[in-house]
Amino acid sequence: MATRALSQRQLEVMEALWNSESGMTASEIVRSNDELQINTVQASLRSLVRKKYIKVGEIVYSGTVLSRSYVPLISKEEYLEMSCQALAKFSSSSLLMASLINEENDRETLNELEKMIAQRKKELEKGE
Amino acid sequence: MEVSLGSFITCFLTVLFLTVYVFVTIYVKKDVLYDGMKIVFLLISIILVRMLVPFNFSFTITIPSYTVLPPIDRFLFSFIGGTGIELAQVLFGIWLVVTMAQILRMILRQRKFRSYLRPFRVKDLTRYPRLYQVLRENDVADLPVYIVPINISPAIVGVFRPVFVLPRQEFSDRELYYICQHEIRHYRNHDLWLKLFIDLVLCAQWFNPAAYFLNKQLTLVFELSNDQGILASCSELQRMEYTECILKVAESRQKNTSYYVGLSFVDIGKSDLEMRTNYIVSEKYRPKKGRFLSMAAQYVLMAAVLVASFMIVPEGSSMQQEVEETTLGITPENSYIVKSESEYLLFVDGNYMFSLLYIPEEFAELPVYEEEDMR
Repeated sequence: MATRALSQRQLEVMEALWNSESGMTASEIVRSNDELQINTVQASLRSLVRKKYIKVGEIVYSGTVLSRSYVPLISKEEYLEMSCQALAKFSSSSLLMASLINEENDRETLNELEKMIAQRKKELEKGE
Repeated sequence: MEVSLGSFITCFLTVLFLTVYVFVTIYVKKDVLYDGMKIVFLLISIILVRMLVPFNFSFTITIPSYTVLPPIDRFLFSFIGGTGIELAQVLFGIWLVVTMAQILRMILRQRKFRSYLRPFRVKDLTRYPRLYQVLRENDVADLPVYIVPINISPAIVGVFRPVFVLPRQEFSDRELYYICQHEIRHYRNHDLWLKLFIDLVLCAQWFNPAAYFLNKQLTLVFELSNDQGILASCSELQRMEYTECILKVAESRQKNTSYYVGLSFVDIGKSDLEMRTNYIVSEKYRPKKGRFLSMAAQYVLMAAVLVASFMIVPEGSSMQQEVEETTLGITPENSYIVKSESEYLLFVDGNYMFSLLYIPEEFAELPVYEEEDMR
Protein backbone atom coordinates (compact mmCIF):
# COMPACT_ATOMS: atom_id res chain seq x y z
CA MET A 1 0.00 0.00 0.00
CA ALA A 2 1.25 3.48 -0.84
CA THR A 3 2.63 5.38 2.15
CA ARG A 4 5.42 7.66 0.92
CA ALA A 5 4.91 11.37 0.44
CA LEU A 6 4.72 12.74 -3.10
CA SER A 7 6.88 15.42 -4.70
CA GLN A 8 5.28 18.54 -6.14
CA ARG A 9 5.20 17.17 -9.69
CA GLN A 10 3.97 13.76 -8.58
CA LEU A 11 1.18 15.45 -6.68
CA GLU A 12 0.18 17.45 -9.74
CA VAL A 13 0.08 14.26 -11.81
CA MET A 14 -2.06 12.58 -9.17
CA GLU A 15 -4.37 15.63 -9.07
CA ALA A 16 -4.92 15.23 -12.80
CA LEU A 17 -5.68 11.51 -12.39
CA TRP A 18 -8.01 12.13 -9.43
CA ASN A 19 -9.92 14.75 -11.39
CA SER A 20 -10.43 12.40 -14.31
CA GLU A 21 -13.24 9.88 -14.42
CA SER A 22 -11.15 7.38 -16.34
CA GLY A 23 -7.47 6.57 -16.82
CA MET A 24 -5.20 9.08 -18.53
CA THR A 25 -2.15 8.76 -20.74
CA ALA A 26 0.99 10.83 -20.19
CA SER A 27 0.14 13.22 -23.02
CA GLU A 28 -3.40 13.73 -21.66
CA ILE A 29 -1.94 14.57 -18.26
CA VAL A 30 0.41 17.13 -19.85
CA ARG A 31 -2.51 18.70 -21.70
CA SER A 32 -4.50 19.02 -18.47
CA ASN A 33 -1.85 21.18 -16.75
CA ASP A 34 0.23 23.92 -18.46
CA GLU A 35 3.01 23.60 -15.93
CA LEU A 36 3.76 19.95 -16.69
CA GLN A 37 6.30 18.79 -19.28
CA ILE A 38 6.13 15.35 -20.91
CA ASN A 39 9.51 14.18 -19.60
CA THR A 40 8.61 15.19 -16.06
CA VAL A 41 5.24 13.48 -16.30
CA GLN A 42 6.74 10.26 -17.60
CA ALA A 43 9.37 10.22 -14.83
CA SER A 44 6.65 10.93 -12.27
CA LEU A 45 4.44 8.16 -13.63
CA ARG A 46 7.28 5.63 -13.37
CA SER A 47 7.93 6.70 -9.81
CA LEU A 48 4.24 6.59 -8.90
CA VAL A 49 3.92 3.06 -10.26
CA ARG A 50 6.92 2.04 -8.12
CA LYS A 51 5.38 3.69 -5.06
CA LYS A 52 2.09 1.87 -5.82
CA TYR A 53 0.06 5.05 -6.16
CA ILE A 54 -1.04 4.19 -9.69
CA LYS A 55 -1.15 1.22 -11.98
CA VAL A 56 -1.16 0.79 -15.72
CA GLY A 57 -4.71 0.70 -17.03
CA GLU A 58 -5.80 0.11 -20.59
CA ILE A 59 -3.67 0.52 -23.68
CA VAL A 60 -5.32 3.27 -25.72
CA TYR A 61 -4.83 4.96 -29.04
CA SER A 62 -3.42 8.46 -28.57
CA GLY A 63 -3.46 9.97 -32.03
CA THR A 64 -1.65 7.39 -34.14
CA VAL A 65 0.27 5.72 -31.33
CA LEU A 66 -0.61 3.22 -28.67
CA SER A 67 -0.12 4.55 -25.16
CA ARG A 68 -0.53 3.25 -21.67
CA SER A 69 -3.14 4.89 -19.54
CA TYR A 70 -2.79 5.10 -15.81
CA VAL A 71 -5.35 4.86 -13.03
CA PRO A 72 -4.91 5.78 -9.39
CA LEU A 73 -4.75 3.03 -6.77
CA ILE A 74 -5.39 5.43 -3.91
CA SER A 75 -8.12 8.07 -3.79
CA LYS A 76 -7.49 11.70 -2.99
CA GLU A 77 -9.32 11.36 0.31
CA GLU A 78 -7.16 8.39 1.28
CA TYR A 79 -4.00 10.33 0.43
CA LEU A 80 -5.13 13.38 2.41
CA GLU A 81 -6.02 11.15 5.37
CA MET A 82 -2.61 9.48 5.19
CA SER A 83 -0.91 12.89 5.04
CA CYS A 84 -2.87 14.12 8.06
CA GLN A 85 -1.87 11.07 10.07
CA ALA A 86 1.75 11.56 9.10
CA LEU A 87 1.67 15.28 9.96
CA ALA A 88 0.14 14.57 13.36
CA LYS A 89 3.21 12.51 14.31
CA PHE A 90 5.63 15.42 13.92
CA SER A 91 6.38 17.55 16.97
CA SER A 92 7.21 21.23 16.59
CA SER A 93 10.43 20.80 18.59
CA SER A 94 11.84 18.45 15.95
CA LEU A 95 11.12 20.83 13.06
CA LEU A 96 12.32 24.23 11.95
CA MET A 97 9.11 25.97 12.89
CA ALA A 98 7.82 28.68 15.20
CA SER A 99 4.49 27.53 16.62
CA LEU A 100 1.94 29.45 18.63
CA ILE A 101 1.90 26.45 21.00
CA ASN A 102 4.98 24.23 21.25
CA GLU A 103 3.85 21.54 23.62
CA GLU A 104 0.81 19.58 24.62
CA ASN A 105 -0.74 20.45 27.95
CA ASP A 106 -2.92 18.43 30.27
CA ARG A 107 -6.57 19.24 30.93
CA GLU A 108 -5.93 20.25 34.54
CA THR A 109 -3.36 22.91 33.59
CA LEU A 110 -5.61 24.31 30.89
CA ASN A 111 -8.59 24.47 33.26
CA GLU A 112 -6.55 26.36 35.85
CA LEU A 113 -5.26 28.85 33.32
CA GLU A 114 -8.70 29.39 31.81
CA LYS A 115 -10.13 30.00 35.27
CA MET A 116 -7.36 32.50 36.01
CA ILE A 117 -8.00 34.40 32.79
CA ALA A 118 -11.77 34.40 33.25
CA GLN A 119 -11.34 35.75 36.78
CA ARG A 120 -8.98 38.48 35.62
CA LYS A 121 -11.32 39.46 32.78
CA LYS A 122 -14.18 39.77 35.23
CA GLU A 123 -12.09 42.04 37.46
CA LEU A 124 -11.11 44.22 34.52
CA GLU A 125 -14.68 44.48 33.22
CA LYS A 126 -15.91 45.41 36.70
CA GLY A 127 -13.19 48.04 36.95
CA GLU A 128 -14.31 49.61 33.66
CA MET B 1 42.37 25.54 11.98
CA GLU B 2 42.84 22.44 14.07
CA VAL B 3 40.77 20.29 16.38
CA SER B 4 41.80 19.80 19.95
CA LEU B 5 40.31 18.74 23.27
CA GLY B 6 40.47 22.37 24.37
CA SER B 7 38.26 23.60 21.54
CA PHE B 8 35.60 21.01 22.42
CA ILE B 9 35.82 22.11 26.05
CA THR B 10 35.37 25.76 25.02
CA CYS B 11 32.23 24.90 23.04
CA PHE B 12 30.88 22.73 25.86
CA LEU B 13 31.43 25.43 28.49
CA THR B 14 30.00 28.16 26.26
CA VAL B 15 26.78 26.21 25.75
CA LEU B 16 26.62 25.63 29.50
CA PHE B 17 27.04 29.34 30.12
CA LEU B 18 24.34 30.25 27.59
CA THR B 19 21.98 27.76 29.22
CA VAL B 20 22.47 29.35 32.63
CA TYR B 21 22.18 32.84 31.13
CA VAL B 22 18.88 32.11 29.37
CA PHE B 23 17.53 30.42 32.50
CA VAL B 24 18.34 33.50 34.59
CA THR B 25 16.85 35.77 31.92
CA ILE B 26 13.54 33.91 31.93
CA TYR B 27 13.06 32.92 35.54
CA VAL B 28 15.04 35.42 37.60
CA LYS B 29 15.66 38.74 35.87
CA LYS B 30 12.76 38.49 33.38
CA ASP B 31 14.71 40.58 30.87
CA VAL B 32 12.73 38.97 28.07
CA LEU B 33 10.36 41.90 28.47
CA TYR B 34 12.72 44.36 26.82
CA ASP B 35 13.15 45.19 23.16
CA GLY B 36 16.87 45.37 23.84
CA MET B 37 16.90 41.59 24.10
CA LYS B 38 16.89 41.40 20.29
CA ILE B 39 20.55 42.45 20.28
CA VAL B 40 21.30 39.77 22.87
CA PHE B 41 19.57 37.19 20.66
CA LEU B 42 21.69 38.34 17.72
CA LEU B 43 24.88 37.88 19.74
CA ILE B 44 23.65 34.47 20.89
CA SER B 45 23.10 33.56 17.21
CA ILE B 46 26.70 34.38 16.39
CA ILE B 47 27.93 32.42 19.40
CA LEU B 48 25.84 29.46 18.27
CA VAL B 49 27.44 29.61 14.81
CA ARG B 50 30.83 29.45 16.56
CA MET B 51 29.67 26.39 18.49
CA LEU B 52 29.20 24.54 15.20
CA VAL B 53 32.95 24.44 14.55
CA PRO B 54 34.86 23.16 17.61
CA PHE B 55 38.22 24.10 16.07
CA ASN B 56 41.13 26.29 17.10
CA PHE B 57 41.96 29.23 14.89
CA SER B 58 45.34 30.79 14.18
CA PHE B 59 44.55 33.70 16.53
CA THR B 60 43.46 31.47 19.43
CA ILE B 61 45.09 32.11 22.79
CA THR B 62 45.90 28.94 24.69
CA ILE B 63 45.43 28.80 28.45
CA PRO B 64 47.79 26.05 29.66
CA SER B 65 46.42 23.56 32.14
CA TYR B 66 49.06 21.66 34.13
CA THR B 67 46.89 19.48 36.34
CA VAL B 68 43.38 18.79 34.98
CA LEU B 69 43.86 18.44 31.24
CA PRO B 70 47.28 16.68 30.90
CA PRO B 71 46.04 13.31 32.27
CA ILE B 72 42.96 13.54 30.03
CA ASP B 73 45.22 14.43 27.09
CA ARG B 74 47.48 11.46 27.83
CA PHE B 75 44.47 9.13 27.97
CA LEU B 76 42.88 10.49 24.80
CA PHE B 77 46.07 10.56 22.76
CA SER B 78 47.19 7.09 23.79
CA PHE B 79 47.28 4.45 21.10
CA ILE B 80 44.61 1.75 21.04
CA GLY B 81 46.12 -1.71 21.50
CA GLY B 82 48.87 -2.38 19.06
CA THR B 83 47.40 -0.10 16.40
CA GLY B 84 48.83 3.24 15.43
CA ILE B 85 45.41 4.85 16.03
CA GLU B 86 44.87 7.30 18.88
CA LEU B 87 41.72 7.09 21.00
CA ALA B 88 41.11 10.79 20.23
CA GLN B 89 41.01 10.01 16.51
CA VAL B 90 38.37 7.34 17.06
CA LEU B 91 36.27 9.64 19.27
CA PHE B 92 36.58 12.47 16.76
CA GLY B 93 35.44 10.11 14.01
CA ILE B 94 32.43 9.04 16.09
CA TRP B 95 31.58 12.67 16.82
CA LEU B 96 31.79 13.59 13.13
CA VAL B 97 29.68 10.64 11.97
CA VAL B 98 26.95 11.19 14.57
CA THR B 99 26.90 14.95 13.85
CA MET B 100 26.52 14.38 10.10
CA ALA B 101 23.80 11.80 10.75
CA GLN B 102 21.92 14.24 13.02
CA ILE B 103 22.12 17.00 10.42
CA LEU B 104 20.94 14.66 7.68
CA ARG B 105 18.10 13.45 9.89
CA MET B 106 17.07 17.04 10.56
CA ILE B 107 17.03 17.89 6.85
CA LEU B 108 15.13 14.74 5.88
CA ARG B 109 12.57 15.26 8.65
CA GLN B 110 11.93 18.82 7.49
CA ARG B 111 11.59 17.70 3.86
CA LYS B 112 9.23 14.91 4.84
CA PHE B 113 7.04 17.34 6.79
CA ARG B 114 6.89 19.74 3.83
CA SER B 115 6.02 16.82 1.52
CA TYR B 116 3.05 15.76 3.64
CA LEU B 117 1.97 19.39 3.98
CA ARG B 118 1.92 19.88 0.22
CA PRO B 119 -1.65 18.80 -0.62
CA PHE B 120 -3.08 21.31 1.87
CA ARG B 121 -1.79 24.43 0.21
CA VAL B 122 -4.38 27.14 -0.23
CA LYS B 123 -4.16 27.98 -3.92
CA ASP B 124 -6.70 30.79 -3.83
CA LEU B 125 -6.42 32.80 -0.64
CA THR B 126 -9.40 34.97 -1.58
CA ARG B 127 -11.57 31.99 -0.60
CA TYR B 128 -10.59 32.86 2.96
CA PRO B 129 -11.36 36.60 2.94
CA ARG B 130 -10.70 37.30 6.63
CA LEU B 131 -7.34 35.56 6.55
CA TYR B 132 -6.45 37.21 3.25
CA GLN B 133 -7.29 40.62 4.68
CA VAL B 134 -5.08 40.16 7.76
CA LEU B 135 -2.16 38.93 5.66
CA ARG B 136 -2.58 41.76 3.16
CA GLU B 137 -2.68 44.36 5.93
CA ASN B 138 0.66 43.02 7.13
CA ASP B 139 2.20 42.89 3.64
CA VAL B 140 2.61 39.13 3.69
CA ALA B 141 -0.15 38.12 1.28
CA ASP B 142 2.52 36.32 -0.79
CA LEU B 143 3.38 33.97 2.08
CA PRO B 144 2.21 30.45 1.10
CA VAL B 145 -0.59 29.31 3.40
CA TYR B 146 -1.49 25.73 4.29
CA ILE B 147 -4.71 24.85 6.12
CA VAL B 148 -4.57 21.39 7.65
CA PRO B 149 -7.58 19.39 8.94
CA ILE B 150 -5.84 18.26 12.13
CA ASN B 151 -5.28 19.82 15.53
CA ILE B 152 -1.90 21.42 15.05
CA SER B 153 -0.72 24.75 16.29
CA PRO B 154 -0.59 27.68 13.87
CA ALA B 155 3.03 28.04 12.86
CA ILE B 156 5.59 29.52 10.51
CA VAL B 157 7.66 26.70 9.03
CA GLY B 158 10.99 26.89 7.26
CA VAL B 159 13.80 29.39 6.96
CA PHE B 160 14.59 29.55 3.25
CA ARG B 161 11.01 29.17 1.96
CA PRO B 162 8.82 29.97 4.95
CA VAL B 163 5.17 28.96 4.89
CA PHE B 164 2.24 29.70 7.19
CA VAL B 165 0.38 26.68 8.59
CA LEU B 166 -3.05 26.89 10.18
CA PRO B 167 -5.37 24.25 11.57
CA ARG B 168 -8.80 23.98 9.94
CA GLN B 169 -10.57 25.46 12.94
CA GLU B 170 -13.07 28.25 13.45
CA PHE B 171 -11.43 31.42 14.73
CA SER B 172 -13.11 34.73 15.40
CA ASP B 173 -11.78 37.84 13.61
CA ARG B 174 -9.91 38.87 16.73
CA GLU B 175 -8.39 35.42 17.26
CA LEU B 176 -7.29 35.24 13.63
CA TYR B 177 -5.73 38.66 14.01
CA TYR B 178 -3.74 37.64 17.11
CA ILE B 179 -2.62 34.37 15.56
CA CYS B 180 -1.46 36.04 12.36
CA GLN B 181 0.26 38.84 14.29
CA HIS B 182 2.13 36.30 16.39
CA GLU B 183 3.36 34.24 13.44
CA ILE B 184 4.12 37.24 11.23
CA ARG B 185 6.21 38.70 14.02
CA HIS B 186 8.26 35.48 14.16
CA TYR B 187 8.66 35.74 10.39
CA ARG B 188 9.66 39.43 10.45
CA ASN B 189 12.14 38.94 13.35
CA HIS B 190 13.80 36.05 11.50
CA ASP B 191 13.41 33.98 14.68
CA LEU B 192 13.71 30.78 12.71
CA TRP B 193 17.33 31.58 11.82
CA LEU B 194 18.17 31.46 15.52
CA LYS B 195 16.16 28.24 15.78
CA LEU B 196 18.16 26.83 12.86
CA PHE B 197 21.46 27.69 14.58
CA ILE B 198 20.40 26.09 17.87
CA ASP B 199 19.18 22.99 16.01
CA LEU B 200 22.57 22.73 14.26
CA VAL B 201 24.35 23.19 17.60
CA LEU B 202 22.19 20.37 18.97
CA CYS B 203 23.39 18.22 16.08
CA ALA B 204 27.03 19.08 16.84
CA GLN B 205 26.72 18.91 20.63
CA TRP B 206 24.59 15.79 20.77
CA PHE B 207 26.68 14.62 23.74
CA ASN B 208 26.02 17.76 25.82
CA PRO B 209 22.83 17.64 27.97
CA ALA B 210 22.99 21.43 28.41
CA ALA B 211 22.42 21.86 24.67
CA TYR B 212 18.99 20.17 24.88
CA PHE B 213 18.02 22.33 27.83
CA LEU B 214 19.27 25.44 26.00
CA ASN B 215 17.13 24.50 22.99
CA LYS B 216 14.00 24.27 25.11
CA GLN B 217 14.73 27.50 26.96
CA LEU B 218 15.51 29.46 23.79
CA THR B 219 12.24 28.26 22.25
CA LEU B 220 10.39 29.56 25.31
CA VAL B 221 12.32 32.84 25.15
CA PHE B 222 11.23 33.38 21.52
CA GLU B 223 7.60 32.93 22.46
CA LEU B 224 7.80 35.14 25.56
CA SER B 225 9.56 37.88 23.63
CA ASN B 226 7.09 37.59 20.76
CA ASP B 227 4.09 37.76 23.08
CA GLN B 228 5.48 40.84 24.78
CA GLY B 229 6.19 42.54 21.47
CA ILE B 230 2.62 42.04 20.28
CA LEU B 231 1.06 43.10 23.58
CA ALA B 232 3.29 46.10 24.25
CA SER B 233 0.61 48.54 23.10
CA CYS B 234 -2.42 46.48 24.13
CA SER B 235 -4.84 47.13 26.96
CA GLU B 236 -5.25 44.70 29.83
CA LEU B 237 -8.46 43.37 28.31
CA GLN B 238 -6.73 42.75 24.99
CA ARG B 239 -3.98 40.89 26.85
CA MET B 240 -6.64 38.60 28.31
CA GLU B 241 -8.20 38.08 24.86
CA TYR B 242 -4.78 37.18 23.47
CA THR B 243 -4.20 34.68 26.27
CA GLU B 244 -7.64 33.17 25.70
CA CYS B 245 -6.72 32.71 22.05
CA ILE B 246 -3.52 30.88 23.00
CA LEU B 247 -5.43 28.68 25.44
CA LYS B 248 -8.04 27.89 22.80
CA VAL B 249 -5.32 26.62 20.46
CA ALA B 250 -3.66 24.74 23.33
CA GLU B 251 -6.98 23.14 24.24
CA SER B 252 -7.37 21.72 20.75
CA ARG B 253 -4.01 20.03 21.18
CA GLN B 254 -4.40 18.83 24.74
CA LYS B 255 -3.50 15.37 25.86
CA ASN B 256 -5.97 13.37 27.93
CA THR B 257 -3.53 12.50 30.68
CA SER B 258 -1.12 14.62 32.62
CA TYR B 259 2.43 14.05 31.51
CA TYR B 260 4.48 16.76 33.13
CA VAL B 261 5.91 16.24 36.61
CA GLY B 262 8.49 18.68 37.85
CA LEU B 263 9.87 20.48 40.88
CA SER B 264 8.27 23.73 41.85
CA PHE B 265 11.05 26.20 42.58
CA VAL B 266 10.46 29.80 41.54
CA ASP B 267 8.69 29.19 38.26
CA ILE B 268 10.77 26.25 37.11
CA GLY B 269 8.61 23.18 36.71
CA LYS B 270 5.77 25.10 35.12
CA SER B 271 5.00 24.34 31.50
CA ASP B 272 5.85 26.85 28.79
CA LEU B 273 2.16 27.74 28.52
CA GLU B 274 1.97 28.58 32.23
CA MET B 275 5.11 30.73 31.94
CA ARG B 276 3.67 32.57 28.95
CA THR B 277 0.38 33.13 30.73
CA ASN B 278 2.17 34.45 33.81
CA TYR B 279 4.24 36.81 31.69
CA ILE B 280 1.13 38.16 30.02
CA VAL B 281 -1.18 38.33 33.01
CA SER B 282 0.85 38.80 36.15
CA GLU B 283 1.82 42.26 37.39
CA LYS B 284 5.30 41.16 38.49
CA TYR B 285 6.21 40.40 34.88
CA ARG B 286 5.68 43.91 33.58
CA PRO B 287 8.49 45.95 31.97
CA LYS B 288 10.39 48.07 34.45
CA LYS B 289 12.01 51.38 33.73
CA GLY B 290 15.66 52.28 34.15
CA ARG B 291 17.09 49.00 32.94
CA PHE B 292 19.41 50.64 30.44
CA LEU B 293 22.54 49.88 32.46
CA SER B 294 21.43 46.30 33.00
CA MET B 295 20.87 45.80 29.26
CA ALA B 296 24.20 47.46 28.44
CA ALA B 297 25.91 45.10 30.89
CA GLN B 298 24.28 42.16 29.12
CA TYR B 299 25.52 43.36 25.73
CA VAL B 300 29.05 43.61 27.11
CA LEU B 301 28.77 40.18 28.73
CA MET B 302 27.51 38.52 25.54
CA ALA B 303 30.16 40.27 23.43
CA ALA B 304 32.83 39.07 25.87
CA VAL B 305 31.51 35.49 25.68
CA LEU B 306 31.51 35.75 21.89
CA VAL B 307 35.12 36.92 21.77
CA ALA B 308 36.22 34.39 24.40
CA SER B 309 34.58 31.51 22.56
CA PHE B 310 36.67 32.31 19.47
CA MET B 311 39.89 33.36 21.15
CA ILE B 312 40.44 31.37 24.35
CA VAL B 313 41.03 27.64 24.51
CA PRO B 314 42.31 25.63 27.47
CA GLU B 315 44.92 23.04 26.58
CA GLY B 316 46.86 20.52 28.61
CA SER B 317 50.52 21.51 28.92
CA SER B 318 53.03 18.68 28.40
CA MET B 319 55.73 20.39 30.54
CA GLN B 320 55.47 19.17 34.13
CA GLN B 321 55.98 21.67 36.89
CA GLU B 322 58.95 19.90 38.45
CA VAL B 323 60.63 19.77 35.06
CA GLU B 324 60.04 23.51 34.68
CA GLU B 325 61.67 24.12 38.04
CA THR B 326 64.77 22.07 37.24
CA THR B 327 65.49 23.25 33.73
CA LEU B 328 67.62 26.26 32.92
CA GLY B 329 67.55 28.60 30.03
CA ILE B 330 71.02 29.52 28.71
CA THR B 331 71.02 33.13 27.57
CA PRO B 332 73.66 35.83 27.13
CA GLU B 333 72.14 37.53 30.20
CA ASN B 334 72.71 34.65 32.64
CA SER B 335 75.59 32.68 31.08
CA TYR B 336 79.15 33.12 29.94
CA ILE B 337 82.09 31.06 28.73
CA VAL B 338 85.57 31.11 30.18
CA LYS B 339 88.37 30.21 27.80
CA SER B 340 91.12 28.22 29.49
CA GLU B 341 94.23 26.73 27.92
CA SER B 342 92.64 23.71 26.25
CA GLU B 343 88.92 24.05 26.69
CA TYR B 344 85.95 26.31 27.22
CA LEU B 345 84.07 26.34 30.53
CA LEU B 346 80.35 27.17 30.59
CA PHE B 347 78.94 29.08 33.57
CA VAL B 348 75.17 29.64 34.12
CA ASP B 349 73.96 31.97 36.85
CA GLY B 350 77.51 32.02 38.15
CA ASN B 351 77.67 28.23 38.49
CA TYR B 352 80.02 26.01 36.52
CA MET B 353 78.04 23.66 34.30
CA PHE B 354 80.37 21.75 32.02
CA SER B 355 83.37 22.12 29.70
CA LEU B 356 83.45 22.21 25.91
CA LEU B 357 86.21 21.56 23.41
CA TYR B 358 84.83 24.23 21.13
CA ILE B 359 82.06 26.82 21.21
CA PRO B 360 79.02 25.41 19.37
CA GLU B 361 76.84 27.65 17.21
CA GLU B 362 74.05 27.68 19.84
CA PHE B 363 76.39 29.43 22.29
CA ALA B 364 77.94 31.79 19.75
CA GLU B 365 76.23 34.79 21.37
CA LEU B 366 77.42 34.07 24.90
CA PRO B 367 80.18 36.39 26.19
CA VAL B 368 83.65 34.77 26.27
CA TYR B 369 86.22 35.72 28.88
CA GLU B 370 89.87 34.78 29.22
CA GLU B 371 90.79 32.81 32.27
CA GLU B 372 93.23 35.48 33.39
CA ASP B 373 90.44 38.07 33.36
CA MET B 374 88.30 35.98 35.73
CA ARG B 375 91.02 35.66 38.42
